[in-house]
Amino acid sequence: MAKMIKLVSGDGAEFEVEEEVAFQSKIIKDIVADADDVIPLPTVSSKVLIQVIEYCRKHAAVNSFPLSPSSSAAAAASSSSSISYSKPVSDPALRAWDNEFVKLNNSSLFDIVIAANYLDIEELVDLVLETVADRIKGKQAQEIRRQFNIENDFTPEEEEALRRENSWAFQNN
Amino acid sequence: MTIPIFVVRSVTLVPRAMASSNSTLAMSFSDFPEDVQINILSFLSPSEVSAFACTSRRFVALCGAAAPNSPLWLAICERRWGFRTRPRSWVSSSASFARLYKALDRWEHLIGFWRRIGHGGPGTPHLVFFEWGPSYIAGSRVSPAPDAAGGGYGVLKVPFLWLGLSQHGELVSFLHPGGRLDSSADLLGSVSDSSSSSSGVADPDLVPVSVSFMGCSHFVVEENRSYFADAREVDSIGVLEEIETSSPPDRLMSEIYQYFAIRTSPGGDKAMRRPRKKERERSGGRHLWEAEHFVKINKYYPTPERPLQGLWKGFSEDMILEFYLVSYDDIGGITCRRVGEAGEQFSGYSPVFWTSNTTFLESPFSSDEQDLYANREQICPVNADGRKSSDSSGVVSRILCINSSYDLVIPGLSASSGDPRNVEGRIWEYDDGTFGFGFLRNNYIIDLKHIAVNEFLLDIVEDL
Repeated sequence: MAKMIKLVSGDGAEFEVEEEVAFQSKIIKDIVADADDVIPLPTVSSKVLIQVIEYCRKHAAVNSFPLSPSSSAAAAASSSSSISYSKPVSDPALRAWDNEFVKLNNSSLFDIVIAANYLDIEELVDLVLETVADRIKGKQAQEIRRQFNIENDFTPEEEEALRRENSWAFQNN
Repeated sequence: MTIPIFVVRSVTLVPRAMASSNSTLAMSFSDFPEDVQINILSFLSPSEVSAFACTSRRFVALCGAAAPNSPLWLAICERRWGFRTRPRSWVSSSASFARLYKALDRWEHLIGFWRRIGHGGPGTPHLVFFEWGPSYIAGSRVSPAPDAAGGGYGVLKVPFLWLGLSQHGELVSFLHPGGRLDSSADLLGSVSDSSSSSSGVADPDLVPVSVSFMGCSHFVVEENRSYFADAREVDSIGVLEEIETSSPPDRLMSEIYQYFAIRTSPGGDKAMRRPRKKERERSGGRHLWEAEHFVKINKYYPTPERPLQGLWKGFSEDMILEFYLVSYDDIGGITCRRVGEAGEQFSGYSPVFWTSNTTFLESPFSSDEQDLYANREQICPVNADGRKSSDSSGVVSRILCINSSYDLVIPGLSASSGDPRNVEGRIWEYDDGTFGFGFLRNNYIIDLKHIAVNEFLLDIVEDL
């Protein structure tokens, strides 16, 4: 019988999950190593935890296979850098599932970014960070501010000067 | 969203202890921890980063290209090139990583195979291969290894050109006209020992050069005559101080730059100075080295649609290992040319065969075709004990007709230039994807093998 881990969300709901599913979170894996099977996650709401568990359940089957040589080389290469490169999802069906998974509004997406980052689920972090980046691409500053709730603390003159300065720097690509 | 299959044992409702996710206050990008922000922004291109920079004061600071040690620009370089090189090793601690990005973005085009065109020193190989080093890009001349080394198919790879960044973030490139450094192995491996890199640096034959692109597929390497003049303007005292502190061993390029700066500064450390005579020669009017032009070999490996395409090596009828380049053109034809040594006919790029009909003959083959193949001898390297080392490639899967004539044929002229069978030939494609070719005028088969796979040269032999 598969070993079960109990996760408790911030609003008190409890979720029992198979160990291999929960262990995609490095944080949970570390906590359980200290012999604790009930893991409170006060900063993660039920809604977000349900989504994260769904992702982990889907990806648990893929991750149960040993790392291929290319991805362990990648892990070695990235150990000295701040960027973590998890193996890109090669299975097209899984990739398609991932693309559906991230069809969320920005607010929900941001919640998952925070949760995945906190729980240290490498592949989910890469997926959602790249998704956020995709939503920045091709947009001008004003639109980015609106979509991502960034406060504009420039004076109009500062903003104009900045726009001119920055467009010069990267015009000749 | 599917219904998750887990058991909810008990749902005890407790008062909301969380302060976050208040429904009236939407979450902002600014609320992310900085490392998360950097990771997200590292997916963007420079123009997208500059758009993002304009959103708020905080992000102008984060995205600024001029700032030294920008964690964002380092992350962008790592994400794009971290697999192939060590971006952090290219620059000193005070450098601008945005400048590093521009340098890597520009020089990335060099990676791969190039063919030297025009004149060159006698015996200089035509084929050149560029690859990533830990803190530089290295170009090597590739030639068939002499004396059947490496099982006969060995190639010599001799580094001759290095490109990197100086202490001050400027592009620098150096060439070794003799073709070889004593510590070339150290240069191309991970330089973890400062003593080995400094012995490579103390080489008086290094020539500073400039690498100029003329479009994406053509570049020129020229001696940089103004290099020493520029170096003299560097504050000699400042440079001396840098030399005396220990520098990270794998910043090879900055050490080379420092070495040249010391050599030409009036107050340079005596221990590092070369004889004065050489310096006068350098800054005199003489050219040490002629400019070289290179054009890109864009497709050096076959694809499913173009199975014969690429850079190959094989033994010619003269029992010499040669390099062959097979290209597909836009009008559905295939040509093969030999990539050879300098001073030869056609400037070392002589035609071998061509065909305009790329339809293969499939098995089963006619008895004529089978006879054509069966009575032939595959040209193989001979082992030391005199026996042929035949690793024959296997079963013929398909056949293609080729032609080796490059004469103009005027239809209707009664006097033909000879028996057409003299120039006709065949390609025999094997089931492992390689192929051999031969002509009706003799009974040889020239079997071809790949020169490189996945940006790695095969069968490299040490130059002893």
